[in-house]
Amino acid sequence: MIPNRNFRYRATLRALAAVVGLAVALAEAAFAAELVVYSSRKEELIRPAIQAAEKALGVKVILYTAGAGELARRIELEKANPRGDVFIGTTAGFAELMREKGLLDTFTSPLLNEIPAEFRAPDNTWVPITARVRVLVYNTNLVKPQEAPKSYFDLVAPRWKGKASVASMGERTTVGWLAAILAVRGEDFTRKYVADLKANGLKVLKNNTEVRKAVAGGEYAIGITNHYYYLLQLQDDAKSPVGIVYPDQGPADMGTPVFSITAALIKGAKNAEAARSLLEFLLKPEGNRLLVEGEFEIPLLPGLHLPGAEKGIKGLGQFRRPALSQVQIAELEPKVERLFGSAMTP
Amino acid sequence: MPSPIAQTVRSRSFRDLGLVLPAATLVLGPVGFLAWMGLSRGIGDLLIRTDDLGILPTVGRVFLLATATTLLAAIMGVPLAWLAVRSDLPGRRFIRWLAPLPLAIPPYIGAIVYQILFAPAGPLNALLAHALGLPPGTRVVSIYGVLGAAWVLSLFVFPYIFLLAAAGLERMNPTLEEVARGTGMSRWAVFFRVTLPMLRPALLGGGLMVFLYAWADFGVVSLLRVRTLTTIIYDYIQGTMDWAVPSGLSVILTLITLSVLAAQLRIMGGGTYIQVSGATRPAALVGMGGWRLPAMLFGFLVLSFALGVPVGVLAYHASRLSIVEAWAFLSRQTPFILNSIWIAASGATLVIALALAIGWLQARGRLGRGVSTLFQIGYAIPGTVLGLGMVGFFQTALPWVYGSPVVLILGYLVLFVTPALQGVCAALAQISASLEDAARGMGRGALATFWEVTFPLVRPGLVGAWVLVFILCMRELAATLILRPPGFDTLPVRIWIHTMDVGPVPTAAFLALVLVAVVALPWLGLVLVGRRGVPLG
Amino acid sequence: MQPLIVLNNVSKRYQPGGPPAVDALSLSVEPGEILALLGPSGCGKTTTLRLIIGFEAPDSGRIEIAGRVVADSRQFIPPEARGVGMVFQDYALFPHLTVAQNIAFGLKNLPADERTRRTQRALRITEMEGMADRYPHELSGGQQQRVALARAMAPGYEAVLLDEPLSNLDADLRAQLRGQLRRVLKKTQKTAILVTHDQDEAFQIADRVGVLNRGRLEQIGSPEDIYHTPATRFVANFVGAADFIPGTVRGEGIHTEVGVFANANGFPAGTAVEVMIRPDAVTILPDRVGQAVVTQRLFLGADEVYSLRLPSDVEIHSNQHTTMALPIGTRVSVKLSSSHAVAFASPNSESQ
Repeated sequence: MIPNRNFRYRATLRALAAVVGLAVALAEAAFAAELVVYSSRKEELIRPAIQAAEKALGVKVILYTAGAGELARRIELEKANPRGDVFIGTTAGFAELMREKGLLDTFTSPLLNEIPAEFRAPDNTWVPITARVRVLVYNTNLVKPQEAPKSYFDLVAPRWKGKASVASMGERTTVGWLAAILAVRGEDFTRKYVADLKANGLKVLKNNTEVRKAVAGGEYAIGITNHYYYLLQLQDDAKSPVGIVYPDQGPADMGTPVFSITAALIKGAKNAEAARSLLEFLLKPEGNRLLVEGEFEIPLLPGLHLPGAEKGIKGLGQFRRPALSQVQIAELEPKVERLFGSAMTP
Repeated sequence: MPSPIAQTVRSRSFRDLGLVLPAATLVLGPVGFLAWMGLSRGIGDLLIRTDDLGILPTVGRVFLLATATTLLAAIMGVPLAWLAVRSDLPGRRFIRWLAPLPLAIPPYIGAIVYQILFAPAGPLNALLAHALGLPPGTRVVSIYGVLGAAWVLSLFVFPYIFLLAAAGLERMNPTLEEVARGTGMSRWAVFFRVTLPMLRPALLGGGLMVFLYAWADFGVVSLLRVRTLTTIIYDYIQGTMDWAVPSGLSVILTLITLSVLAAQLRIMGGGTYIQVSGATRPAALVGMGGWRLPAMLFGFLVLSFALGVPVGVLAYHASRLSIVEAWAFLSRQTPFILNSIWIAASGATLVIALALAIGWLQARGRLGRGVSTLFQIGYAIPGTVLGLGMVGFFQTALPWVYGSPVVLILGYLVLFVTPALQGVCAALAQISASLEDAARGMGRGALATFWEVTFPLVRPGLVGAWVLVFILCMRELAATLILRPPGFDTLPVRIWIHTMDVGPVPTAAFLALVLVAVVALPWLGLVLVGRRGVPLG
Repeated sequence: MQPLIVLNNVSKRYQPGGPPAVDALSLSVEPGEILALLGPSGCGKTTTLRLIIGFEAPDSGRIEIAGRVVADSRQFIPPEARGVGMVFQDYALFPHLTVAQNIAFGLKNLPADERTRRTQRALRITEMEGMADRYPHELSGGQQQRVALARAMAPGYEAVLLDEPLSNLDADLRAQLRGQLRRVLKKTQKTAILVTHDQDEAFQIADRVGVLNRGRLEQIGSPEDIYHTPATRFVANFVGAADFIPGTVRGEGIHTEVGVFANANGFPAGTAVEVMIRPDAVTILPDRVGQAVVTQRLFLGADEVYSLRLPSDVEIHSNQHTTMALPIGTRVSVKLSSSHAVAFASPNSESQ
């Protein structure tokens, strides 16, 4: 008996085609009904808040994690047919860029009124959800607390030659930090400052995680980074030899910059209603608490616990900060990219 | 013998166009989109904007990296191949089995492992610091930089050279070496003046494969802090909304890669001169004598660094998760694992199907070289560049594809049809066209002939090619990172996100272990099945 | 009776503007006849087979099989619908199928028991019973050849095409299988076209032989005609050994330095011609005043081949029984049996 091979192969092929087709259809159908959040936050850290929102609002959230720039580029590319509903970014920079390009929808909530105006978008096209502070961390094995630098501008001194590190401009807070300096001290000063830093051997690392690991591991004595990396390092290993400095706190100093973390509603979002409820949830104490604690940020809304207070973290109003609005900082970011883009690349 | 099956010129050019047009759209569309975005404001503008990025030193650095990787891979691959095939070394069969396996470990996972090992306070440096009496936490040796990246890359790509060299040695006619010995040359002289030159096509092919891999790599250089064109492009993609600079750089990178590839094709165009003699006796094994111990140590070290160390370190790190944690984590990651397997399996199936169609039509003289050349260009496009180009091109030109997993499969088509074609063509070359003619003469149409004769005969070869492409799809990172639609993360993407978020942590190690297992299982299966062999012709 | 296979003015080129593989070829094969197409490699004989079965389409001309037009300028019937069996030079046995499955491959549309019956019959005719469950790689070359033949004949097609069917076998086996092949073909009353470059094979198997050169049919006829009265110099040269001696037509005969031959082709007087001489038509005797000298001697077993130099320095050959061994340098007289002599216009005069 000779088996009918012909039939068998055709059947296999047909079955295969059917499976592929079905799977594509299922995958597409599955995506349509869910709230898509474009997030540049660390997934592990933002997940508690997102999971609580899923439970409270009864929606399924799809988290698409990528760099804020890629997300903004995607949102622009998808303008005609948005695939994302909510954007959760880093500092106000990209939110401002997207506002100018008309990619964002306004969102209002009575809760927003409790946040200081300098952290908000004038027309409510984006929402400040938490905030972070640009600090210095240092390795306590290599630097005694009393000898730690007191200012960003100390780092050009020969003492710190080859000992300081910072994240690349891939981290928006690096851009925001230089934008704040540019706003307070002007272009000439900032150009010279960055050039001096580089000449003094400032190491540009890929991201803030590398900076905190490099400092904790003793590769570099100093890291210019965000306050919560100090807390993350202590969470990883409570005995880590790391200390934190809020620089430039003197009466004549510029102060330590604070950046609001922004979220926004994407214009033309397919699930706009669910997206609004998600944003509202993230501002309410139950949601905002999870964001703040999950990411070790500082709260912008009153009445929330400040993570890491016992480890030297200061809340809004407990330290001196530059008299700059988030929009002012954001507006200078493109200029910072242009001026220092290549200097601040690994 | 002229072309075997009747074809009028007209029908062939239609068939050519039918395949060339979609292939050209798929391959040239994204590149064209990037060229348009990169040069939309003129070359002058692009040059000004990229002026201070240090493109030239960067190109030099990548060239250095690729060269160092190729040299290191050759230093590992060629002697191992010789030992496995020609020596009487105890355990040479183990080498023959194990040496291809590092291909199952994606190099970026190797980079994570060596990052852990070489961390400033990590096991290696702690040991060295202790031994040298330096303060704890001192970094004695660093894995970061060009040399470290070359080391890691070569550990996981040397099997390309090993496999080609071993196959070459196995097929080489031993008479030539015996003749050389007869003229009074020493063993070393014979190796360098006869064996090695005979292996040249295999070594060039493997070497250029390794070179191109290192040249276009994104994962390893990114983790090991080597600034390359791909990392600059990726940083621009992640950190800016700008199209011009990343697009412009992508075009430059693609052009350089293409010229390397063109050189490869030119060199390889001369064809093989390995003496394949159907059923020659195998060459006599060379006694290792006093070299036995150093040779065994060499093999042991290479395989340890490329297999034992990565798996060991990952397992150790993953074991820091409690079983409960591991289970909870795994169940959260299951959808991504399934995504990966599903997309890699569909991708591999489609890639192989297309490669089979192209390979068959070309072998039977019914299709020109155009299509395969196009896919060779696709193969040369670095994943990062392809991702950026495809996202832009598909959203603009084919929005219904954009945003669905289909776009990933299309990306895999562009990237992997060329390696698939190599396997498929090798399988097809063993089928004489007269077999198909015979079936036609006995009342089968063209399709029935394909399914009843051609397909069953190439199937063993196809299984191998399928597993290879499955592995390539499964571990693809650079393009997937940009192409993935929301909610459709793959394992490498999850590993990447975890590593980038918080550094090489137990969860990332655990995921990496899962990926290595998923990739290694079909590979092992293939090796085992391949040993049993299928008695065909 | 109507011919089974007819080629009418068929031409085929592989590259436009290239040399023709088959050039205005016309021939016909009667039912039950075995035709051999003989020629050197590249003469178009395999292409002719491929045109007949339909692996190639002719550029012009018409092909008919059993009264049906299968290819002309308007239509092309694909190979699977032509009802012609083929035996390939490399046998093209399917390596993944057993002998029985190979033979049954062409019997797909028959009921199972009929399929089994025909397979058995084909195995019996080719004396391959007992091998049914073997795979091709388990068979010897001769056995593979017989399976290929059985497979081509099993579907019961009237016509079978054989492409160099014995060329992959060693000499002894080849000689032995020639007879068997002819016997099987005749017993089953198949019409067959055999392609070969081996004249012995053509002569021993075929009823008629066609000689092809550069895609053109030079001569078609019985093996004896082809051998003894070749129509062209090419045929004379290709079929059997032949020497050419210059001569001139004078009076009733053709005058050469070894004698006068009948002017059978009726060349006009004064024409310069060449006379073809087969070595077996040349008899030599030692003769101290003979006109030829032995320059070389090749021992072939039963025969010896002598190379002889004539006074005009033309070299001819002679087949002699080994009963007489003449040393090199012996002067001999040459005698020709003129029945084997055929004359051609000499190449120089042809070109004028």
